[in-house]
Amino acid sequence: MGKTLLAKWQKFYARLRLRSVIWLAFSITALAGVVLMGASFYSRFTGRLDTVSAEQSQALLEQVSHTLTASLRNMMKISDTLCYSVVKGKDIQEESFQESFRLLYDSNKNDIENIVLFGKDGEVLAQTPAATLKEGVEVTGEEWFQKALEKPENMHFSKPHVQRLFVHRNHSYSWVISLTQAVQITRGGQQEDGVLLLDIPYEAVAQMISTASLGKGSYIYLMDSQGGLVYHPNHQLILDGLYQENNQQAAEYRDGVYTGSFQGEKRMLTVKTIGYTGWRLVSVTEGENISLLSLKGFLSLLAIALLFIIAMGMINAFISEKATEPISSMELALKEIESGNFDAVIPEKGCYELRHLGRSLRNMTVEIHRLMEQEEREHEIQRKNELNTLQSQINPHFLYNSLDIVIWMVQNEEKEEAVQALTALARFFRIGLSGGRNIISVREELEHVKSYLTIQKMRHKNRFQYHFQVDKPAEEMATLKLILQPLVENAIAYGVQYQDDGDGEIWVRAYLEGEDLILQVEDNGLGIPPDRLEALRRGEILPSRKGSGIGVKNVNERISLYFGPEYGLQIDTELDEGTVVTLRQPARKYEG
Amino acid sequence: MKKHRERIWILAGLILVGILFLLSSTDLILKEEQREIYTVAVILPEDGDALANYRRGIDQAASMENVDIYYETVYKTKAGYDYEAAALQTAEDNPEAVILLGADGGREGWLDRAGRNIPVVSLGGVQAYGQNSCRITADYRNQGELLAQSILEDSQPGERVIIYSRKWNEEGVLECAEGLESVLKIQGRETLRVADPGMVQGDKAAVLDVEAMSGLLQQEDAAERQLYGVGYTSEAVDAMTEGRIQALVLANEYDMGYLAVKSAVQMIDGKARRPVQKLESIRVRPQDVYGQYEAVLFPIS
Repeated sequence: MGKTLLAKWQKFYARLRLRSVIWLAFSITALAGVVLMGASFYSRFTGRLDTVSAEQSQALLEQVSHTLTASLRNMMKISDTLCYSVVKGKDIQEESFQESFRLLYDSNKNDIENIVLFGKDGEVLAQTPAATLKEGVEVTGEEWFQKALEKPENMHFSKPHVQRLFVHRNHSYSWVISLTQAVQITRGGQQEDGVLLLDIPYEAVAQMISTASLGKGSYIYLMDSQGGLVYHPNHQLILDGLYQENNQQAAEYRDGVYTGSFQGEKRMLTVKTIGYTGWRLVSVTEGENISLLSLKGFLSLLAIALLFIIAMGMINAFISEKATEPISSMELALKEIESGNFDAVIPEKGCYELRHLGRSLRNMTVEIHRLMEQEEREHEIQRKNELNTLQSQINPHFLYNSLDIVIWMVQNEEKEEAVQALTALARFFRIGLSGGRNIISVREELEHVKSYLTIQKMRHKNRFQYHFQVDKPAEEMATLKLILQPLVENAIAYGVQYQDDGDGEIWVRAYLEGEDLILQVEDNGLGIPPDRLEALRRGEILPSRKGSGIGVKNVNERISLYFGPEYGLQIDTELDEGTVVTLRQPARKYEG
Repeated sequence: MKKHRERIWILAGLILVGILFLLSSTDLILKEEQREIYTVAVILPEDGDALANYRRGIDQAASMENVDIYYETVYKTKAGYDYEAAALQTAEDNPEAVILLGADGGREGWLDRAGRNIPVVSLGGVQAYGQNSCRITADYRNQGELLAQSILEDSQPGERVIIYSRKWNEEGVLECAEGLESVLKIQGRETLRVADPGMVQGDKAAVLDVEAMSGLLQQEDAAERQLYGVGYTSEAVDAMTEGRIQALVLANEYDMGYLAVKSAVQMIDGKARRPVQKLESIRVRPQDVYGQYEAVLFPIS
């Protein structure tokens, strides 16, 4: 698996251009840096925001707690005052007792709904303000009454409830929190237990808490130590089941700040316990107030990140372009040179190393070019040498034989024939030398062959006839020197010299075929047997020592050497019918 | 070619950045939820003290939903409360929605007919009228059935039960009476519908509207009757604690008021409305007043 991935990566990497590699490396590095930095800053910033939010929440709770504690302590103080200064030591039947009760109520009536003193059997011993007790009310069954008697050393705060002891005007009602305390009362000189009740208006507690707020999505509620709600801004809705609060969960928390989610929404809870009552204030900060990332905030961050990535990509592209541009130019120049254009200039630009590399490549190219030219020149010289060597293979016996013929003619006083033979011989050698040229016109080559045939016809005592079939345009073409003569020599040697008198015939043709020049020598001789033809093609049959000394193979090699391997000779022969040797070469105008 | 492709990529990226900018920093494409203040008018009768719990629920929802509530009083004429005139007059103030409190029901079409496309939420009644209105109401038939259960618990077969109301023309009262009768008759009780308080004497009486109950409670001989009521008034609750009413069946009016404002806001926002929301009712006996139903009978405001 790992090796496959590595191989894939290497394959992918091999296809990448240097510019892309640099761009990718820069971009990935920069992106990683940005992401790490962004995450770090974001983490620190949100952490700080959370801390500030928690601190604000705690400060607010502290403030509310302080106010609430002060208020509750005041209630407790009033209760204590009633207990120890009003009730204790005074007979409830005294006139001043009721008066003290009323005075204390009057001075605190904004914070107290009513004050009632119950006997141990639940009868009302004193009350203020004046109100009519509802018929049938039995307080001994009430939880607050029982608690007060069970634990007389404590003060007890009840849960919020409807004040149900007295008849209200206009059928109104009020929610109160009851503070109860067991008291020792004196009635008719007898000591007995009693219960003192102070009803604190729920509204007063609510007002203390509801006015403190951290803004939208934040609120504070109050619960008892078991998680039962004492105050909540949506208290009634919670009781009716139209609103939910996780107060039971919050009851398990110690004082502090907690982050969690409720009903799928993130929220921060700050818990603070109120002294003595065990009540707990809980501040709730909901949803986006504790999160930086609203949808728009997220999109905004995304836009900034994307803009940064684009800018970074463009800068990286510019840098990688600038860094690799000299290398790209070098590569282009090298491609040109590779295709044969040594005039292409390898640039020397960019940083020091690249300039140095360019200079070295340029020097190297110049050197390669020089070596190639030298090689070509040497090759050309070698080729010319080979040609000259081939051309110089003309057998001197041909000259001796030809001169023998002339001598023989002179001795027989055949002056005209001797002159004709000498003229042909002179022309043969003049064209054969051609001032050292290798390339001559077809006309000259034909003339050369004609001279040769003239001499040979005399030598063979007119045993054959020859014919020239030449197209005019073909005469103007260029050809290699001494390429027809060996073919004609071959035709005479193996074709027509064995014919009866005058029956042998040789046709020499020159014409154009498409882009090619065709030179053809045909005889009506005996034809070439297959084994001999094969040997001829392979060059195993050497030219006659009596002839010019240039073989058919020699001709074929010269054409291939000069014009390319696709050109050369074709031999078509049939026994007792004759032979056609066709020479094909490119048709090029002679410009000698 | 390569350069051209790079330029296209850069251009595409910049266009994306532009779109993201428009999305994140403007309201052209994506509108951020704004804390809009809604204006809702509540039309209620001049003697609407019995509707206090509705008002508490309305006020609670108003504070939570950022609604500016203002109350318009409808005055009683010889022909009764003229809600139509009050609604049309209120519409002149261009509230975003109107809540009808204590209306007889079934007449929300006033504003539609007057060409005022203002959402109307009615509390009480039976069914919603018009596309732009909804109704928060009680299941009146179920209320009758619940009341019948209390009467059955306190009566013997063959006993007669007087069904008394001053509002026999109201659909809710009729539905309630039908529910009541259906249960009582099966159990062998005799029933009689009356509209005259004088006919409610020593018998067990099911009183189907709060005005009728109030009238009975103010009579001197009220204590001699066994009364079973439908609907909430604080007077009736007090009477029950005093033993003058044997049972009350009522819907949670605080919740109805709360839901009315929520529905009004939904309709203002063009969200789907529920034409009729029926709330379950509760059956309260004297011993339950300060027990499990304390919060329903005496909502915390």
